[in-house]
Amino acid sequence: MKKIVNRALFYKEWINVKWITLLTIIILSYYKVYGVMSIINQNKIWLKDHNNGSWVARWFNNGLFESGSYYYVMVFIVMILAITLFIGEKTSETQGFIVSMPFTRKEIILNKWFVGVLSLLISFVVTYILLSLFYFANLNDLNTTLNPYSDIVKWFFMDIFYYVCIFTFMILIQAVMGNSIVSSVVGGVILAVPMFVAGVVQNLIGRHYGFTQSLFMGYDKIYGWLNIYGYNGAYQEWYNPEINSNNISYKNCYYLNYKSKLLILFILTCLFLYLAYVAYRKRSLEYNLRLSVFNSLSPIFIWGFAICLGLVAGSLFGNDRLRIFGICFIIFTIIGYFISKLLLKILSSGK
Amino acid sequence: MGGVSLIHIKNVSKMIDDKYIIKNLDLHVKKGSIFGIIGENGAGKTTLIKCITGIYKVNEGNILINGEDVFDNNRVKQTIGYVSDENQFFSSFKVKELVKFYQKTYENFSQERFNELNIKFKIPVNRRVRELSKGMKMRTSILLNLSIKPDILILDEPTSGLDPIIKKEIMSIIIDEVASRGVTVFISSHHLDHIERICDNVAIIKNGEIKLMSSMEDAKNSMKKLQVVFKDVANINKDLSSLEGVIKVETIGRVSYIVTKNYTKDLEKKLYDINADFIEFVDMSLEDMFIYFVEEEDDKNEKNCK
Repeated sequence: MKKIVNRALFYKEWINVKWITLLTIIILSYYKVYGVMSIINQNKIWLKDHNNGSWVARWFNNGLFESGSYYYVMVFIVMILAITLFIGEKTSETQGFIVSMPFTRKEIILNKWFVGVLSLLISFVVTYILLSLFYFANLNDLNTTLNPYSDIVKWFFMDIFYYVCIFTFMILIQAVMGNSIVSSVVGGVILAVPMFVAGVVQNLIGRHYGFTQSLFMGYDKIYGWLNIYGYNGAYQEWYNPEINSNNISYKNCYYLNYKSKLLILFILTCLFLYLAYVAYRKRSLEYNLRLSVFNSLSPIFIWGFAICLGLVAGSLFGNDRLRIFGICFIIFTIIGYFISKLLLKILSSGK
Repeated sequence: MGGVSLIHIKNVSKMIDDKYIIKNLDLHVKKGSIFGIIGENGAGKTTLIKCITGIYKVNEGNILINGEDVFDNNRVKQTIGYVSDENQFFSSFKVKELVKFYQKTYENFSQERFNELNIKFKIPVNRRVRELSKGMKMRTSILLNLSIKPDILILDEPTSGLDPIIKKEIMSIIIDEVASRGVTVFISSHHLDHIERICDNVAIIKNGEIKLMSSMEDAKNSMKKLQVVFKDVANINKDLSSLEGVIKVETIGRVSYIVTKNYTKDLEKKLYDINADFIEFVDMSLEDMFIYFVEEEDDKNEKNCK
């Protein structure tokens, strides 16, 4: 550990990252701690207004796993974290500073990763402690069978594994690309591409072959797998009791394939970290400010951008008919090809 | 140029965008000497410095410092202080945070040395880098790099943005460092008067190649400007230009100014043979030498192109 963590680099990175850690704690507290607080408040208000009303028994479970904008905001925070760690070394003036000092490239990239992970870990541990305190403070109002303490533990491990994995992916993108802000945006977009492509294909098949329920159920499953942003989301199972009964509907949230998801996230994190390390070691500082630091990756950027633009245009203008979709797709892919080439040229002029 | 080489650059080439920025460059810097490198803008000085400091990896050849390759080598980099030509510090950092960062980075960092030098440099340690003026940023960089007690000090345009008093102060501190601790200094500057005043050896770089490398004394002895009065000046210019080593001839009335890069007593003899009445040496600064040298190289290139 001592060999990996360089105290000078740790000090330097921590100065930049401490504010992001604070921001992450605030955001996590808002979504999770305030989330469960607001549900118990709603319940109490409901009980006060309706003397014979029912208490939502799974209030802690429901509040903890409430999704909403949480996933997107957290990915945004991870993007900012990656930008903060790299922005100092990606400006024309300061880019040579750290590499001229007695640090190896391996130490530089591993310390960035380490400090970023530590920042996330601190934020999640603080939130975990706050949630635990709140859980135990409200034990009298909790049905611990329906709201087990293990929900907090499971949430903690799932989210920390997930956001560390996303952060490591952002580090990889930062290692292969120049401009730190563009790198993070591209990283964020890449994660949404599989879901977007699946959505377009689903729509096209539906238009062409008609909307059959079995087909759509199958596609929903695939769509769910490809939705990387919701990978850490808990499955929400709704129970709707029979009409005219006194019971109200309720939902139960739990993780599907919990252990396999953690294992996959762990493997992906290791893979992304290794690739980031290899890329950063091979990175030539003279091309540091370019959009793509490695020339061999330029075609991937060009075609990736072009095809995505084609798909966006196709689904916007050719939503109704497959032929119009195809024409729009081809035209905008060609336009996208030239735009991305131009972007590469413009953003590659700085040395 | 004898003595132990501390910096040894062997046949180094650096390409950026498939273009040679430095080509087959050989250079060695003696321990405890001050080596100046001069050249036009875009000649390859900063690229060379970035290769020596391990920022850029060379495409061909080796850069050895104390016998070890510099790239990704922490042991070697511990001994190098590098002052960049522009502010290299993170703008959000306070100076005292930078001091702490240097302290944690360099084993030889001396807080006493920092405090002692800061009496002259007057850097407010509680200010953020972005709040400092250009000159103050440069002073901070020099101050921090002197505080690490380096064996090698690499300075890229260290006096840009500084006022004349602080410029003089810095130059005298650098000379003191060399005298007291035997620091080796590698300096690039457009202020050729500074180079001339403090350097033991000098190299001229053009289009990524070293065109001249010699001690300051040898350079001054071999490159001379002669003021010659001829008895009969008609048709003499052609004869003068063809003399060996003559790179420039200017004639005003009966007086001709001849610049040579390989001065020998032979040249004087030849001038007397073609009716020179009177010969006198005119003092040449490093700046004059540099200008004549570059002009000659440009003329050569033009002729080659034709």
